Amino acid sequence: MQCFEATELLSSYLDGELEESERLDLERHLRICDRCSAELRELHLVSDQVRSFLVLEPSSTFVTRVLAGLPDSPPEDVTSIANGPVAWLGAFSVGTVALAALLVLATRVVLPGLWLIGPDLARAIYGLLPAAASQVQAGRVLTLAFTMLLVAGCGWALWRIASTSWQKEAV
Amino acid sequence: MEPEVVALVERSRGGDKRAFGELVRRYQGFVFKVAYGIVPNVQDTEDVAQEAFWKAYTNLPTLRDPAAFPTWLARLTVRLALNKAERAPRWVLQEPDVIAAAVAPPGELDPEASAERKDTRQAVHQALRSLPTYYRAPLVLRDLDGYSYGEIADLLNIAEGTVKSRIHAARRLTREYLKKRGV
Repeated sequence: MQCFEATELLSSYLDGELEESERLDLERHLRICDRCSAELRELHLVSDQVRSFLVLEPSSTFVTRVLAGLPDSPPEDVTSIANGPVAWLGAFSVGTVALAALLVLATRVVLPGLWLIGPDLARAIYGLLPAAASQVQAGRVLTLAFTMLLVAGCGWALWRIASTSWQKEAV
Repeated sequence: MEPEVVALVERSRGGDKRAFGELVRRYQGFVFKVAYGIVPNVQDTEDVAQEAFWKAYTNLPTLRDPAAFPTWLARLTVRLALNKAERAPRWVLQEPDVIAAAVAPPGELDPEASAERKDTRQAVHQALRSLPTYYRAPLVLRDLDGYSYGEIADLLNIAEGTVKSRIHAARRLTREYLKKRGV
């Protein structure tokens, strides 16, 4: 082992965070290298100094101040209501209904209205939809798109529920 | 984990403030230690500690396993301290900070040794204050709180390899700083 490799491992060695093989290699190097051994002692000293000198004791009134600032009522599980599966399903249902209403509005009101106001513009819009030459075909494409959105939304909602539960378990 | 702490957490959940007061008494030193390492400023440390306990109390029902209270509290404290540190990247030395750096820890009674140690203590405080938060935080979590690299990576949401390199860099920078001041 060379000095430049050894110095990079010194802190981890000090903290007992080296793999067995790395530790043995480093100890072999330290036995023959005064410079790296001196650096290890200095890093050890820094660690001791931080431990010994960076101390801040709480004031004697700290507990009283914390308690005085607490709400009077017992803590409520507000986050589980705000982030829980029921809340996510609720938000998803509202989103789905809103999307469906938007699609109905587009297919039943806006596009038929366009046929009346400007048939050329309506034809141009339908022309943009792949394989949609008529209003019926356009409706099918929109239904397909809606179904895909619904499936993606369900997947996303399930993933959110699963990850929220997992995070709570991790705490 | 003491069974008594689990009982205190359960009682605090039900709104028993005396029980929560006992938890604050037990963990205030720990919270101050974690916060002061990341936010090396007395006033901000007090603010972080107070907010950490407030959040702990109000969010207690979300803690599924009462035995995980200390880890959960540490996580809260680290997150709050890092937020505070991000908002104040340069630390202005105030009177309470000078006093804190000068006060001998309990048990240090020899006056002669105290004078010398006082200089070292102040230099160490200054050295850590000069480090960027991303170096200081992993260093103090390791040296003051004894967390493993894996736990620090988890607390700070960074890779374990990054923890390793930052701790090493932080120690080297601290050493250089102290050397330049003859400590």
